[in-house]
Amino acid sequence: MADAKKMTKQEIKLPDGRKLIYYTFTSQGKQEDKKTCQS
Amino acid sequence: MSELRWHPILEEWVITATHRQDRTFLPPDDFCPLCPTKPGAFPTEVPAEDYEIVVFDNKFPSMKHPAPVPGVEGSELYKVRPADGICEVVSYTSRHDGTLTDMDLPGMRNLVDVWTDRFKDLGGKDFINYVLIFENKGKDIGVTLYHPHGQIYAFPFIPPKVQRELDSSEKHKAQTGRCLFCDIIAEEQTDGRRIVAENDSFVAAIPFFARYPYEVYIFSKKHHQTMLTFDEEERADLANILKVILLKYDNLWGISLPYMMIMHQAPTDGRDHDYYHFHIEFHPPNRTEKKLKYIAGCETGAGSYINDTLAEEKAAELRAAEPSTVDNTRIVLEG
Repeated sequence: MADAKKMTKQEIKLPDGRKLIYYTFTSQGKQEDKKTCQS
Repeated sequence: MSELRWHPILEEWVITATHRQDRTFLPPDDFCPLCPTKPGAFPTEVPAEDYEIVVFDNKFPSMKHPAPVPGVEGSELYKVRPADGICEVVSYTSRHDGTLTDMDLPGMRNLVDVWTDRFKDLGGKDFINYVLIFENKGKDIGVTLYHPHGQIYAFPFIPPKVQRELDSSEKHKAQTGRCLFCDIIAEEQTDGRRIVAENDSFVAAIPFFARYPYEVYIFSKKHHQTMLTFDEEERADLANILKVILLKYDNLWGISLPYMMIMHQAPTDGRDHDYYHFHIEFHPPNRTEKKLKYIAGCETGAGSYINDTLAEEKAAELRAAEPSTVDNTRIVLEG
């Protein structure tokens, strides 16, 4: 299962006034993924 | 120029947005507006050298806030109101190549959190009555940018298709005391032939009533109205079943299958819609690898869809596509 990471937002204004939000995710010390498919 | 014009025959709003005629159309890879801005290179819409997931106001919005004054005057018959809404772009990754299918499972899980955050943020605005999260994928659907991305339209009204679903759900609840979607899930699970994939929290099926050959619905097993009430396990399970369905689509014929992916959630108009049920709809246009299902005269003119295929057979094809397991299909992250 893909565990949740800590999500942070950084909102800025673009030169034309539009809003832009960067979403970043920090691992909380859980797993890293291996791309395998199993039932 | 942008406004809402009332269609008195169909009793629905039409959005006019003439400025969208000039929007960026399939730019060369070096000039993709959704890529990060590299030092000394073409300045894109994202003024950073890298990012994980980024969301921004659409440069060519169908609706915006505050809305411009309508360019035409209305009448009693031809009502006009400002197109007061918000249109956002969700760029799934800084990588230009690939699709949502290529996103790894942790990335997909992160995207679920971003969708949830955007739904909460946009739906919390008093002038927004409906938040539609969707993705148009592939040239056959009419995308204007190849970079993997989705969109969010926050409407000042409830769109007509959703309103029909609300009406049928409310009627079913009044007649039976049960949720229409919960009954559909039960009927699909009892029959079993149209189930495509399933995990602890979600079931994916080409339902009995499918209008497109490979029209998959993902239903939450619990009676949720929106993503906001999903717990951690459900969020992870949603990422998982999305990944499974997307892989199956691409593995069906070994092509990157185009689709429209639409998330249906309850309105954010402050009313109680407890009879409604969260689900995601996929509408791929293909009826075979090389033939498309067109929304032609009967569908457009009469609103009646003709499906040249049987949901039972198409679901069996998707079930057989990798990842091939059906019961509790789950991509396992080891370690």
